[in-house]
Amino acid sequence: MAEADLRHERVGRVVGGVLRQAVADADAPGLVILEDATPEGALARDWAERALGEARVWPAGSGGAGLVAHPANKTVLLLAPVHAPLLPLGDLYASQVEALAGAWSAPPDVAALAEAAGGIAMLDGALQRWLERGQGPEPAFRLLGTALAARLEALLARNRAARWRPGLVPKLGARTLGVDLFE
Amino acid sequence: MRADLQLAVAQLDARPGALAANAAAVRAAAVAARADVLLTPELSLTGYDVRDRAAALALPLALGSTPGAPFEALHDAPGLVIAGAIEAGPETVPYNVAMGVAGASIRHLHRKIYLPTYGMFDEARWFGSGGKLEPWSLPGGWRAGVLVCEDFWHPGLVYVLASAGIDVLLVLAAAPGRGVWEGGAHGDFASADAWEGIACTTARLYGIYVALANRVGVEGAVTFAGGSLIVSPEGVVLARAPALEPATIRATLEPNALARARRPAFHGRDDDPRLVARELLRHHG
Repeated sequence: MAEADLRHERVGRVVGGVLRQAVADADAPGLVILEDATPEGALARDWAERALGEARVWPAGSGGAGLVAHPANKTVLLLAPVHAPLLPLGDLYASQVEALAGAWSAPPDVAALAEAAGGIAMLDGALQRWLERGQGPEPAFRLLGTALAARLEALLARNRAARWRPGLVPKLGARTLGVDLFE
Repeated sequence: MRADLQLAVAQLDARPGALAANAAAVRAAAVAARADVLLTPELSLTGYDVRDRAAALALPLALGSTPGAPFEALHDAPGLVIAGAIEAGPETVPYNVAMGVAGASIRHLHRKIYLPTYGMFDEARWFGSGGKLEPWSLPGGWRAGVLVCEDFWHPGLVYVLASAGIDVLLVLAAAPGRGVWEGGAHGDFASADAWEGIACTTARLYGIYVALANRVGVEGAVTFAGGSLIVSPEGVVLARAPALEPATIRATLEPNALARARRPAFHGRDDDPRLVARELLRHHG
């Protein structure tokens, strides 16, 4: 199996395990996945169905009464408010979602920021230097240029309160929203 | 003269607060393993992330006493069973402990010394810290050092136990899996590689067996990594459990293997704990 496929399986196993336990702990009939037409939604749905079975995973508006999961990626959760009990892809940056699913999505202001940065990899690189490697904003965002770094800092500041109490994010890395103290 | 020792390591899931059910799972693992010693993970009887329920889940666990009502399942478990529990200490301080039970009697206790309180961990908020290291006597004349999770990341503790003449180091852990994106050499988590590196290095440095029981299962957002190990005194992995799934691994510990590992290199024989103690005192008063 190719490394990309192995990674897809590996990450999906861990995310799926957290979803399965969350549903069991809540004694819920299954999982409702919001925005399942996005690349993130399709990924979350695939992993949820593997963990719970197809019959226990529903799209929004289908009448299913399960736990609600929003498939927002980590880039989005850092920069824009998203409120849902479960955030299955919340420890995967948009560029990692792209590596797994071939595409990514974000609200317009975050997507515009990525475009101005020269691509999602550039934006995620800056965020990872700040969050995962613990650099200060100045060295972490320097490559983006002064004006863009200021926009990024403003978005991060605006969303700080939302980051303090996110929904349940399956822990995959070293700095997970809602699990690790990093700010 | 030591005899061979049958050691089994059971990497179990544990449901937070389900003491009797967790004890039954530990007993079932002991019955299935039929080993001289069964090692299970940190807090295998209580679950890990119990937070302020720690005080309510704590029980008096005096040496020589019989484990109380929720742990009755352990009374007829075969061999020496080493499990993780919460001890109600003096002045109601709960301690995260490794407890050795044989013949319905608590034979050994080790209170976790280093309580991680950083990043995702908050243990010093809920538990008191232990302050003693005592080798345990195992069946067949073996001497064990017992540490709980973060204790193992403090080489000074292993040094103290090694200088006290242990043959095997037993580590109970509840280590979260991290580094899923990168993956590990033998499983889903890069973090497991760090544990294995430390276990193999420790075994080789001191010429001792090292066994690590790491739990599996999910609590909230955290997935416990599994990947339990038994490592020879030459630093070679004898048995490795998979990631994520409950499993039991086993090995026969042989006195001759200790001698073989220690004979070619005499750094262990030449080590001078008095010099170390003297220098520590000089630097730290």
